This record gives sequence, structure tokens and C-alpha cells, in this order.
Amino acid sequence: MHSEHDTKNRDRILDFLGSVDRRLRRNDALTHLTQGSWGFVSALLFLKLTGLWSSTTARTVLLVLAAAGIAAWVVWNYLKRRSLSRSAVVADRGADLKDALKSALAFLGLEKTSEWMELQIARSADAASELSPAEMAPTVVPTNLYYASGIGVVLFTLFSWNPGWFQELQNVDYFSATLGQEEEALEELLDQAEALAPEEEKLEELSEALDRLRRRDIELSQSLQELSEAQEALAASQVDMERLSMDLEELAAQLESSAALADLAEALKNQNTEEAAKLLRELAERLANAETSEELQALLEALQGANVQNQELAEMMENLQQAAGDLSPEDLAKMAQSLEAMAEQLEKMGQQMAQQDADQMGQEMQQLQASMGQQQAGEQQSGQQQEASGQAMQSAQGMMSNQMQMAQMQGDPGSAVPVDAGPAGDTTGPGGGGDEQVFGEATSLEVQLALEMLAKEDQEEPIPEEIFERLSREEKSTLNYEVIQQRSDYAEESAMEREGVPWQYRSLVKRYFLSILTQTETSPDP
Amino acid sequence: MIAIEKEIGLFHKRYNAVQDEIGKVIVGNREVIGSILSCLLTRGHVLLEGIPGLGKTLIVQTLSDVLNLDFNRIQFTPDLMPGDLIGTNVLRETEDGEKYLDFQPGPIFCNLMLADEVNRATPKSQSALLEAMQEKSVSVGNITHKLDEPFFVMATQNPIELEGTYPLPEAQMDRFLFKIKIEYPSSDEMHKIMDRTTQVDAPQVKPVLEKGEVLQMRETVLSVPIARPVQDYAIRLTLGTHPNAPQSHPLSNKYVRFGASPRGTQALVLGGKMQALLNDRVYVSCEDIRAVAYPALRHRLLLNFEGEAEHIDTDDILKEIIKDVSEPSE
Repeated sequence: MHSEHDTKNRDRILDFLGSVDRRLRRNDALTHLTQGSWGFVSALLFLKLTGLWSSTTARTVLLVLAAAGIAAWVVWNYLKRRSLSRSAVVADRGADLKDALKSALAFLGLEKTSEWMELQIARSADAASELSPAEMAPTVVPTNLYYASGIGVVLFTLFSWNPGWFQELQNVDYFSATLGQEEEALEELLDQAEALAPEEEKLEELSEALDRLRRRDIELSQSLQELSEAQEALAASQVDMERLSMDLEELAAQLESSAALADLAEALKNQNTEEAAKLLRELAERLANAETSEELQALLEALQGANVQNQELAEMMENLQQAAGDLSPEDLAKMAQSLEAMAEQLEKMGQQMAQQDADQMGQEMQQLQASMGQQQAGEQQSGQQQEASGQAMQSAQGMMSNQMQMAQMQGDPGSAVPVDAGPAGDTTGPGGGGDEQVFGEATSLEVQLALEMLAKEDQEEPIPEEIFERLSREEKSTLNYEVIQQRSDYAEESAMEREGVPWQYRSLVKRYFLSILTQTETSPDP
Repeated sequence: MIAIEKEIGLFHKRYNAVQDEIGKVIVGNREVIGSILSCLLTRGHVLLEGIPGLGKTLIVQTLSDVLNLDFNRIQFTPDLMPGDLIGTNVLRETEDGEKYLDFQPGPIFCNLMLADEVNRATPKSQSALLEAMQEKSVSVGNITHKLDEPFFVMATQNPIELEGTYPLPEAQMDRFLFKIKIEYPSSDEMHKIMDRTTQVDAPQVKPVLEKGEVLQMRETVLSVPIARPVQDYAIRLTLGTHPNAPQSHPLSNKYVRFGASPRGTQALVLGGKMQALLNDRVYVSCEDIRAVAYPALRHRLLLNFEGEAEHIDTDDILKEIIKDVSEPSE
């Protein structure tokens, strides 16, 4: 039973804490409103960018639903009842009361309180009456709420007003995608052009056309037209090596009719452009010296008869024909210049043909080099083997010859073996002076061993068992007897080492032998 | 409520009187003396740890002189036997020739007992204090002898001379309410110590507190209420010292083998009550709990091998726990 004074103190504390709690909840509501506003703005922007904002009905429904949801969330948080402990903690911290209100609130919740608790409640009530709830929990409007509201208003206005530039901005994705497709097609064409002919000028033209298209200085169709023209020019500028070869062969066939130009015809037939150019230069010199008659006539006939399709070659031949029509001294000099130019053109063609064949020759050279390397490696390996066997033979022969020399130096009559007499028994050695020589037996062990080694090479490999058996029969074996351990596993070993006499009979056996020993010792000698 | 406020005022008056009287002999160490009085007034015991020469024994002797209580000092040595502490039965003979066993009380039968260098006695003798410190009684044979109130054990130990010592077992350590570390005095305090102790007339103290007044002060301290949120804070502090527990602190998980027992929480609450009264409050706040957390818990944390190897101080662990355990917010 609380007294009136105690009830008054209780009410003072609870009123104060309730006021602080309302302010705290209001601040919470503002915080939640800020969060909701940011969510609303984000959703608004998302809907606009995804195209869901287009329908007026959907726009209205979404707006109403979002606003209602945020409002309900804020109100629910505001009305959600919490204990006053948070208010007590906030007030204790704000007024530096050292947990006085928190303890007082805890004591108020007890059914039975002591005088000490009542004293604490009274002290806390006095402290609470001196505090202002507004100071303990001031209203705090989050700064983000202003930002969210401002951005929300601007976006909503823009979306509702829907100006032209914003519509274009909305279609920015479509423009970007279209431009990207065009650029991809052009880049593919550019790659194809690069693969067909690496002509820098044409590529630069293509790049310029592409840049102009990107800058939208020209239309796509115009750019494509330029591109196709450049591509055709690139294809036409390529040197048709096959056609060039055919032209040279036809020209050679025409020149073959003249004996004076047989060398030139042969060179052209072999596509030896360098030699042909050299001959043409000589012809030009003679022409300049007015020495030509038959050769020039034959050349002109050949040029007239030739059906050359190479453009540059055809132009030069045409000039030659025109110059030969008058055969004036000036025209002769001009014709000589034309022949000189033709010689240069032939050299140039030869260089192009040589360059084309260079890669193929290089590959063939590499293949040839690789095959030679493999062959060389194989030969080197076999050579090492032969060298090893050769060294072995050489050492054996050297040892034998050394022994023979030693024997000869000792003056032993039985060792009258020439130095290079060959193996023993060979009676046809060169040291024999052509006569047959009969060698005696070897007088030293070394010589005998050397002879046996040579003889052993011609014989088959003796079987060791036969050697031992033979030596054993001859009683010449020097092999020592060796103790050979018998192979046995653990079971066999334990079985062999096992005591045959059971232990319970050992004493009996011992006594038996002792009795025998006693009888033996005691028995008189016979 | 007026009576309570008078009681609180009287408590302050007596407390300050003891402090002032001790201050005549002991220079500085006012917090140490306050902690010792806290243990005395909350029915606990205190363990003083410090290197020799810092006045541990002098503080205790001066306190006994000021309190006018029955005081005994026991120098703990390796050959000290439990019977030397608690007493023995002596065979006596009446005039009629009848023999009987008469219990001869040991020095433990007093109000203030100074167990000097308690870690020099064997664990057997140290364990003789267990029952006396917790149950305030001594059992000899089949007879249990109740100790007189207040019974207050003040033990000292030297942390550096560990050779030939027997560290107090955990059960013994847990029975001390506070473990107080005595630090070096400052330069000014050293001057005062020299002035007082190097003269002909040594300062004398007189008793300012009787046994009844001490018991009355005890009741005052124990009457201070503590709110549930603050008590919850003390419990969370204690549980923070436990390794591998839901509320354990990471440092406890790493360095502590055993955390503080419920006696640790009791020490926090009782010490907090004393602190509340000294701060003229009639309730315990979280700040009071924090103020006594170090002396109340530092000797109850048993370090594991890693903590011992890295020479971890339990005060460092407690510091982190106090920093990380939040006050009740709701």
C-alpha cells in the first residue's frame, strides 16, 4: 500500500518519463519517415527508368500505395508501446543522474519496496521535476529527410511535366544500341578490308569514313558506298602473279622465233627476270649506238605478236611499238629509254615473284634443316657407339703390341714375334717378311692372357658350369669353399632351433647321461 | 526516510573518522584503506598484494588499533600447522582426577586477523582458513565453534619472492572479497612517510569505532538496494569473464581458463553498495559496479596456459570487458 506521497512521486516520475518517451518516439517517427522517403524516391526513379511509369493509372495507384505504406509504417512505429526504460536511460545520461531514474523506475515496478527504495524514488521524483523533457529529448529532424523530400519533389515534377529533353534522355539506351550495331558492322567491314589488302591509304580512308559516320557528318549509306569503293580499289590493286607469269611466257614464245633474241626468250621462259633485264639493257645500249637491226626488228615483231594483259607491261610495249614506227635517231634514243624502263620493270616483277617464293623456300629450308638435324643427331649417336667400340679394340690391340714389344726387348728366343705380327698362330703377318713364320708358345703370363683374350673373341661364350666342371676334373680349381647361409624363414629357423627334448624330460636325460659318464669313468680301461 | 538519511549521515561520519585516524599513520593509500573498510563492512575478507616495505602490515595493524577490535597477527611459515591456527584439544584433569578434553582456541579466534605472507604456509594450513572465512566457524573434532562477529581476515602476500611459497588455491582466493594491489607511494607521500617515521615521536592512533558501530555500519551497507538493470549489468560483467560462454569476451576465450564465480558477482554488488553509500546515494549505479570491478574480479580469473605464457595481467582483460559490456539501455 503506497502512501499518497509515494503515489505522487510515482506519478511525477512516470509523467516525466512518458513525456520523454513521446519525444523519443516522435524522433523515431521522423527517422522512419526519412527512411521511407528515400525508399519512395528510389522506387520512383526505378519505375521511371524501367518504363513502368508510363501509365497514368499505374502511376496513381503506385503513388497512393507507397504513400499509404510509408504512413502506416511510421504510425505503427510511433504507436508501438515500449517500456519507459529507454526514456529513463536517456534522461539519466542527459542529466548525469548516475542511473537514478533507471533505478527508480525499476523500484516502481516492484510490488514491495523498502524505505531505501522509497527514498530513492522520492529523490528521483525531485530530480525529474527539475528536468525538462524537451532538453532531455529534443526534437531532431534528420537532415536526410530534407534531401529526400527535395529530390522526391523534383523527380515527381519532372516525371509529371515530362519535357522533351527528358524524353530523349529516356531513349538514350535505344540510340546507344543502334549506334553500337552500326559501329560493329563497320568494324567488321574494316577487318575484312585489312585482311584483303594492307593498303594504309585505303585503311585511312576507311577510318576517316568511320569517324565521320560516328560524328554523324555523313549518313550510313554514304559511308558504306565509300567503303565498297575502297574495297574494290584494294582488290584491283593486287598483283596477279599468275597473270604476270603467263604474260612473260607468251612474250618468250614470241621471241623464240628470232635467233638473235634466243637468250632473251630463254630467260623470259625461265622467268629469270634479272637475266632478261640484263639482256634488254644490252639491247638498249646497242640501240643507242645504232648497232641494232635484226635484233630490234625481231623484238618489235615479238612485241606486236604478244598478247600481254599486264597493264604496265602492255603500256611499255605500246610505247616501244610507237617508237619503232619512225626509227628516227630521236626515237631510237627514246626507244632505248623505253627498253631500259622495261628492264627495270622486269626486275621489279622478278623481285615480286622472288618475294612470293621466299616464304615457301624458307619453309622448305626449315623442313630440310630440321630433317638434316635429325639425321645428324642419329649419325652422331651411332658415331659415338662406333667410337666406343673402336676405343675398346684399340686398347686391346695396344696392350697386345706392348706385350710383344716387351717380349722382343727381353731377347727371349721363344718370343721372336714381330711387333705387328698379329695374333698368335697367324703365319701371314707382314712382319714375317713374306715367309711363313711359326710362333712358339708364349713365355709370359701376360702374353698368354692377351692371346687368350683375342682367341676368346672368336669363340663362343663359355658356360661357367662347364669351366668349373672341367677345372674340377683336372683338379685345377682354385675356388675356395665358402659358408653359404641357408635361406630360411622364421618358421623354419625356429623349427630348426627348437629343442627336441621336452623340458620335463631334460632332467631325466641329464641323469641318464651322467650315469653313463659315471660308468665310463669308473669302468676300468681295457 | 529521514531515519535513513540520518543513518547515512552517521555512516559517513564514522567512515571519515576511521579514514582520518588511519591517515595519521598511513600516508596516502586512502583508496586502499577504503577498499579494506569496504571488505570489513560487507562481511568480506581482503588480500593485500605488494612488494615488501609498502606498509601492508602497518595498514592492517593501524586499522585494528582504530577499530578497537580483537586483533591477532599470524606469520605464515611453511611449518605452520592447522592446529596452530584454529587451536587444539588439550587433555586436562579435574581436581577429582577426571580427565577431559579442553579446546584451546587458536589465534583465529579474533575479530581482525592478519595472515601475514599467507602464501608461505602449506596448502594444508591455508585450507584451515576456508571454513573460518566462509562459514565464520571452526570445526575441531566433532565440535564446531562459532567465530565472533565481525570476523575479518586480512592476508598479505609478496608477488616477487615466489621461491618456497605455495600459491593460494583457487577456492581460497575466491573467498577473498577484494584483492588489492598496493603501489609505490608518490614523491610527496614519501616525504610525509620520512617525516613521520624518522622522528622520536611516532604518530599514535586511538580507537574511534567500536564493535557495535562496525556491525551497524554493516547493516547500513547491506540495506542499499540495487535495481535489476544494474544487477544485470554486474552479472554480464561476471559472465564476460567466462570462456566459451554466450556472453564471454573474446579475451576471456583466449586467455582465461576459468572465469569469476557467483562470489564475484556478490563482490561486485556488495562493493557497489559500499561505493553508493560513499557517494551519498541510496541505490547502486553501474558506475559503482565498475569502480569495484578490478579488486572484486582480478583474483577470480584463472588464466590458461597461453595467458600465463604471455604474462597477461587479469586487469588488462577486465579493462577490455568493462569497456565492451554495455550498460542497460532499456
